[in-house]
Amino acid sequence: MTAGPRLPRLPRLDTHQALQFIAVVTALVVLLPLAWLVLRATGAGAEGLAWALRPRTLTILGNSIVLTVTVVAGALAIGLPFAWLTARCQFPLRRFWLIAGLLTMVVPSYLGAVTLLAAFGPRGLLYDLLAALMPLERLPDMRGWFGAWLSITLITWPFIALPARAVLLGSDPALEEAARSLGLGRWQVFRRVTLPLLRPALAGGSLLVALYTLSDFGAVAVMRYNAFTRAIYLQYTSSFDRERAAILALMLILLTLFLLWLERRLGQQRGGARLGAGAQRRLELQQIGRWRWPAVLFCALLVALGVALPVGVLGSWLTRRALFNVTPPDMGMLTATTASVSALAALAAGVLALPLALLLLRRHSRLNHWLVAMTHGGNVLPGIVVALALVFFAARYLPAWYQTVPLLLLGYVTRFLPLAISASRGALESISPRLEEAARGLGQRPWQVVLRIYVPLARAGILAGIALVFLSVMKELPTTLVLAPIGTRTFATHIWSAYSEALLSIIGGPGLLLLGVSALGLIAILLRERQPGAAPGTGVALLRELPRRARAHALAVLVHLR
Amino acid sequence: MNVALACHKLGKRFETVQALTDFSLSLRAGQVLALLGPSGCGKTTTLRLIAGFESPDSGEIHIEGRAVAGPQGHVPPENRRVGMVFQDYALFPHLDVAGNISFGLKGSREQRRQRTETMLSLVGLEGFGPRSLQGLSGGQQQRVALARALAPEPALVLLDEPFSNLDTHLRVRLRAEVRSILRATGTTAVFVTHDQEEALSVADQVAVMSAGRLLQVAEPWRLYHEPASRAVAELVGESNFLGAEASGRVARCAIGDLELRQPAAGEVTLLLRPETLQVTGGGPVRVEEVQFFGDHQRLQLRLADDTALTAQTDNSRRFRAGQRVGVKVNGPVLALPV
Repeated sequence: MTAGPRLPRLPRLDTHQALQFIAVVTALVVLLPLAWLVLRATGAGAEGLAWALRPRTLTILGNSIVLTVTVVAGALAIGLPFAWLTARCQFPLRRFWLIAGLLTMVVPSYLGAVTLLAAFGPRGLLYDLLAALMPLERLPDMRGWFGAWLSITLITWPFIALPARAVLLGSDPALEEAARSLGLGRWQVFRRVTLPLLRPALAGGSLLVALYTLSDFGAVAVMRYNAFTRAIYLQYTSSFDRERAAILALMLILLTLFLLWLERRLGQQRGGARLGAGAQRRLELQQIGRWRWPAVLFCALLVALGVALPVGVLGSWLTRRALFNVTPPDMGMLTATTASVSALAALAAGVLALPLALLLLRRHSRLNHWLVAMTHGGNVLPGIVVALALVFFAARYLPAWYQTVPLLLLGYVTRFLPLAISASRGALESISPRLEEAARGLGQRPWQVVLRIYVPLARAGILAGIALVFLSVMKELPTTLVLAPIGTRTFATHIWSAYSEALLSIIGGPGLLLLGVSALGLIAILLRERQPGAAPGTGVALLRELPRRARAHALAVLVHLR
Repeated sequence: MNVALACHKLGKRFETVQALTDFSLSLRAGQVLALLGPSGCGKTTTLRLIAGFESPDSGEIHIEGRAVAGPQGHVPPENRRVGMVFQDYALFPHLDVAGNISFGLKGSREQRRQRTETMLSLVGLEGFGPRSLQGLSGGQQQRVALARALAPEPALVLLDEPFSNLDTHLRVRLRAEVRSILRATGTTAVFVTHDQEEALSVADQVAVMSAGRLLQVAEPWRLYHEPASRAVAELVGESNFLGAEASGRVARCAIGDLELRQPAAGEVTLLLRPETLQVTGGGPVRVEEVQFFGDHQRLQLRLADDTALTAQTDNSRRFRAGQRVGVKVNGPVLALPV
């Protein structure tokens, strides 16, 4: 057979290489400031090490560890019973408690802490109530470890409850029935069958809680507990000592990396034993008899502290505003700024996420995985560290960007891009590769396939990712606090500065708006997921991938509110 | 005649598995070829190499005389003019029927609309254009997939197990339909199947594959009656193999002297199709088991020397297990090398 005409050399850029190029640039943008921060810290040499090892610094380390361990314990103590009750037991208002419990996740930690303090602080609302009844000097101050512990525990226990609940709903009831038939009592079945099944979910959830606690800035700062994030911020604002802030940040990074390493090890052990996709029998709900009233009390207390209290306190501030002679906030301006920076950051993240998600979809090479994993750096590390790294880097190398909105947006994208990547990726992965082949066979170029097949089919996931980024940016405190130019205020920084100046009355409006939009956003994402046309498995794919807060959102998406 | 597809010494390896070895084949324009073989024999790999979703490690592929894969490079699938019908149809769920069919069409809106209408009526789905895919039956989806692949007038259409997702009844009907559509449009087609009946009844040429190698390509009639090897005979139709001593046109075996299709000499293996065995009353052969199918019946027989044979007879005579019968062979038989 004669050889056909010689093929023309392909002049166009290979699609895969183009995607890789985008990934490399993104990874560099995310990692360069962090690398610079690390260099800066290690540059301090022996002197820096001595500073890091002096007792006052080690106390900060100890504080962070104590807080992390106690929050994990608290979250387990709340999350596991809550999961058991809402998944397996028959008690009044079961579904209501589930949804209301989920809503605790939309409360930003600083808002939770501020309202807790307003209610139970030395001269808070509780004091007012009690003082009217009896002579009382002041209530004990909850600030410090207890306040930080309570605020963070109240918003992180769903990280444990949700995966545990998914396992309790998904595991095969026949396992437990088999154990019963082998002569085990209820408690023994729980200990010997159910708990081992739950262990991976509990361990994974605990790590999420630990990562969140380490990275949280708002609650720790409001409660004046000297953990890493607060110490770093103080070092940065009060003394402007960049080197020492960098050293603290490096210590926090190492601690975070240790936890991530733990999670990876755990993830490998977990293997395929994940939430069983259910073709099994439906679970029968257990009758818990007179225990149902303590169950209701337990759930009610959680919802009261986690949801009702912030909303109630904010509402009371809103109505009390007239009593004080304070200029009310320009809500229009505040809303416009918050909405526009959130929308811009969300759109940028959504657009940038698509090529990165496609890169992982097309070739499962180790290099590609590493590239995309590196873009997650900004999300995995605490916000205050990422923001500080950017500010230092910009001040040194990009003075024109220093204190500008573009740098703020870059900070947001660095922080929340992984949310968008995971959401897009989940949706893209549920599309059969046959569809791409069919389109290629019908004469479509790779980029045409992206526009005509992937984008329309993954639309729900891509939009969900953008929505997640929007909601996260709206609530984000540390990044905004450090990177926003003077005069650019979002809800988060407004609430922060109003609180710092003790102008509680002007927190009410923005606070309620923030909670309302977050709650609506969460519900919208949940409803979208439950639509028959929505790409199945988006939630599951999100769950597999995401670190931290993102995973909490994903978990929320995943839960079937039955 | 025009050669629509030519594969020359194709080889393809996936990590530890040699999926395809030394695969050569050519197909004339307008013909329908079936790739037949057990699962894992490399037939789907062959199809994907032709479509351009994979590229071969060695060898060349030419479509309508143009090299699309080989030492000169790899033409991407979108530039090969190859239409593909997937096993699960791979219809685009976000588009309606017309949107799917017109997906690969170029030209003005009006031209595309007309072509879509033509395709809809070709596959018997007039008026289905605006419908969504959800309401379509398996057979209708299959026809949309075929129309979508045929619409851009490809040089070649590839079908991957096109009927395997359909129930038996529908499968038989659609087979005939697809065949007549391919004939009517003069389309060159390659389809993959593990169903020999499907391969024999639909294709002009059948390529039998096993373990990544092409065993034989032939017209269905020849393939059935004159398989090149015992392996092919085993893959196509049912067979009894009987050792024999041949000399010229005659072979001596356990059921006597039989006439050969071609002269042979020495030790051979005879291919006896069950339907060529004629069972007569009274003889040295024992009936071990009888399966009655209504229009025909199958007998498991055991010869005096303990050889087992399967015979297929009409339904006119009743046999019982344990009965003694005689066996004859209708027509000349094929001798295969041992």
